Order: sequence, then structure tokens, then C-alpha cells
Amino acid sequence: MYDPDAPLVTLDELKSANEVVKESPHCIHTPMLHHMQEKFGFDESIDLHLKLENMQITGSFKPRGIIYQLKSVPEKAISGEQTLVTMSAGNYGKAFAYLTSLQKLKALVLMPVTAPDNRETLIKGYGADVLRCPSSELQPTVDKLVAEESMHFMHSFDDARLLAGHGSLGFEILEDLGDPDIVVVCCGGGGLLGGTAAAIKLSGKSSTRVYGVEPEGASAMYRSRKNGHPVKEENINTIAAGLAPPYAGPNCFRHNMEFVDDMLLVSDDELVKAMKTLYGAGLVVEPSGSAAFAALQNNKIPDVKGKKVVIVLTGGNVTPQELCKYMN
Amino acid sequence: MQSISPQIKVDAVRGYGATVVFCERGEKARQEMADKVAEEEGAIFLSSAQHPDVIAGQGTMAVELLQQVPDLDAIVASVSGGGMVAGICIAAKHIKPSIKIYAGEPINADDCAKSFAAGKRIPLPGPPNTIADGNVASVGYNTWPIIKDYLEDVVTVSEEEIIQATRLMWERVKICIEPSAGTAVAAVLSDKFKAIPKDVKKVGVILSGGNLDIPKIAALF
Repeated sequence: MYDPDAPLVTLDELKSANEVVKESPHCIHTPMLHHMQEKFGFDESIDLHLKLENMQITGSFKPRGIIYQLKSVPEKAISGEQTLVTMSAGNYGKAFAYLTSLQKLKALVLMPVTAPDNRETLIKGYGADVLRCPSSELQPTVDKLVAEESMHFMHSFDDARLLAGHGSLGFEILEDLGDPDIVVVCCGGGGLLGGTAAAIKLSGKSSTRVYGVEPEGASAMYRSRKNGHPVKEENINTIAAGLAPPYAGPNCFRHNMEFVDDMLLVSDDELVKAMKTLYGAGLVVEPSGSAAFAALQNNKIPDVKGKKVVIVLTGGNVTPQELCKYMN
Repeated sequence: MQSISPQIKVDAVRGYGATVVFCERGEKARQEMADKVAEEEGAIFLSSAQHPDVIAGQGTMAVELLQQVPDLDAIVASVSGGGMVAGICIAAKHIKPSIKIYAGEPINADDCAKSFAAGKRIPLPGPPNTIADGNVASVGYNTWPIIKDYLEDVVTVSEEEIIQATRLMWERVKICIEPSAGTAVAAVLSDKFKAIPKDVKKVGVILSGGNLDIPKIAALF
């Protein structure tokens, strides 16, 4: 059951989730590129490290959280009696479809009518069912399916188990680089950011600063922090579809307030410039995945000189055709 | 530079401050133009593959790779003039004599494969027709003896295999490589490579370059 009022994740749970994720063959220890500041022409005093979650299985970090989220679904779902249902046309939907098919679970993905056809084809290709409806009908439809067809809803970003699984990224970053001064993570729903920040801070790295980055045109978490409570997204206007959930989830918001130092914003132009820069270095990174790099590239991160900075590239699901389109 | 050079490479050369002189396709035309310009300008000709210093410099790739992964059983790299493959052969075999070096080559530009099979150098008869623009030269007078002595085998791959391997790296590994690097990946994925000795388990693949005209390659995927 999705609990919007879940307690903050503990170090014990983060460590349990980390064990589950590490043991899973469906999530890899992604590479970290070290001392990249010169390659990108940044100030030479910045010690830049890139965490390549774009190379994670399914092309984004999502398996980390989903692997642990699937550990706590009801027995009926494991036996195939109960269908698992979620809402996502993006990377969550893709990873969800992939991982449920591996475990032969019954899965249904709801997506908005506006989602590109290739998303539906891809997700169906993994064996999940797809149902399209208008955006405003997504949550009501999920509620109906849970009530009337006994489906089990898996929240695509605000689930506490999902957040705990995503925390494995935080532990992995500390394995790759013992003492980062700054860690920067792209923020959509805020689960990866919250889990990663919690894992790092609760591991005793209280002096490591963790920043989240959102697009200017989808800044719910940024505004939630300013308002002191989670807010809905208004007038979503960004190419970074993966960073634009309909609202800041209450669980993610609480973890953001407790463990994240600040939220930063980048424009779409800055996202495209970041994507182009990374492509020039041979890395395939989608616009949503480039936000943290864009923040560094456009001097949005405070006090970086002389610091060890980890930038997480969160996803690489962009086709050459789409990349061409963005570049021109 | 040959007329078929990707625009991105031409732009990069100019961007670094060099003057570009174009020539017709093919090694013969390229060498003739180079000799002509060298004479007219009083310039020194630097071979892109046959100069011993180039071969030695390329060999540092193998030194670095074996520092990073000392227990490699094999290294696979794509071949054109043979500078990279020859350098890797000398360096890798010196560090680890039992290591096996394989060359990947487009079947449409298979001078190295033919030469290796015949035991003597057989250059391409004319400009080859391949998407792998970095694999269009023939193994040369300095690189051939090294390749002949040290290389384990040549694995040739089709145009389609090269494109699919390049696409695979983009879509799954999220690394942007150019088709000539795709040649090496295609070699590893080929049926021929699957049949290599079972004790060859750890394989290093050289992703030699990432300079490609994205709209052109996007159209192929």
C-alpha cells in the first residue's frame, strides 16, 4: 500500500535495501569517471567525478528503487493472482515493465494519451499491459482498479520503499569516492535525490552537501521547500519530461527537507547545452539526466572551488533522432 | 583529407588550426596529394599509421589497458592502416606474451584479412565502400610485418553488423562511438569470434573513436 505519511527512512532500512539491490543481477555498479574537470574546461580547482547511471540496466537509475519496491509487494502479486499497476510513460514505466516481466508478475502501466507511441510499444514489448487515459484520469483510474479489481498500486516516485532502494546510489557513490564534498542529483519526483541524500548523510557524511536540480519549467520541489509544504506542479513547461511529475510527493518532500541541502534550477537551454557537452565527450545522456551537469556548467552550485564534486548522470534514454532534434 | 571524410572531422581539423586539402577517395590519391603538397610547401609528410613513432604512441593504449585490467586474455581493435593494431601487438605481447590480439575489419575493406590468410601484404585494389570511414586504408609496409608476426586473427564483419554494433553501444551502453569503433564491437559479437578458444574469457575492446555525423548515423539506425 502506498503510504503518503511514511516515516523517514532509517540507516538500517537503507542498508537492507542496499543489500537487496547489490545482490540483484538486474542492477549494476555503474562506472564513475574521475577528475573530469579538465575535459570539460571547468575551473581546474574543481575535482569533478561523473556517476554514470545512464549506463544502468534499462538506461536509467530506476531499477535500484523498483528492485526493493518489488520486495514488499503482497504475496498474491508474487503468485500472479494480483496485478501490479503503476502510472508512467517514462523510465519508471520501462524499468517496471522490464523487472516485472523477469519475475513473471502481472503488470499494468497506465500512461497519458499524450505519451509517444514508442513508449507503449516498448513497455508492451516487455510483456506488461498498457492502458492510456487523459492525464487527469490517471489517478482516478488507478484508484478504481485498486478498489474494483484488487490491483496493487506501485507509486512511481513517492513510495518509501522505492526511495530506500534508490538510496543504494548514495552508498555506491561513497564506495567509488570516499569523501565527496558535494553530490548533485537530478530531481523529478525526488525519490533518487531523497534516498541518495539520506544514505550519504546517515552514513556519517554530515559535511557532504547534497543538491537537487529541477527544470525551471517543472520546479515543484524547489517551490515546496520555499513554501514549507509539498505543492502541485503548475504550468509544466520543459523538455525534461522525466523531471516533471504532477506534484511533489509528501514522502519525497519530507526527505528533501531533512537530508537535502538545497534545490537548484536550470533552464531548458542549459539542459540542451549540457546534453551537447556530454555528447561531445561520447556520453549519451537524456535531457532529464543532464540537469545536475547543467547546474555545475552554469555556475549554479555554491562554493565549488577546490571541492570534490560528484555529478550524477541519471539517464540516457534518448534516441539519435531525438538528440538531433534537440541539437538543431 | 578524402572527400568522404565526415564533416565533423573536417571541422575539427580546421578548428584545431590546420589547413585542409581535399583529395579523391582512395589511398593512392591521398598519398599523391600528400606528396604534392609536401613538395610544393616544403612540408614534412607524417604518415597516419606507418611512422614508427605513431605505432609506438598507439601502443600506449595497450599499456594503459593492461594496467587497468592486467588479466585480459585478448584485445580486439579495428584495423585500417594498422598503426593502432601494430602498436597494441608490440606493447601487449611484451607485457603479457600469452595475450591474443584480434583485428576487426569491414568485409568491404578486407585487405588485412586477405593479407593475413595469404601470408603476404595484399593492399586494397581501390577505395573501399564502407560506412566505417576510419577503416578505409590498407595495412602498410611498416605495420604489416608486425601484424603478420603478432596478430592472432582477423575477424571481418558486414556493413549491417557494423551499424548494429554501433547502434547497440548507443542504445544499451550509452556510449557514442563512430562506425570504425563499431567494427571492433561487431567483431566480438560475430559468430567467428564466438568460436575462439574457450580459455579466452576476458576480452578488452578498443572503442577507438566517437567522431561521427549524428544525423547521418541516426538515419542508419
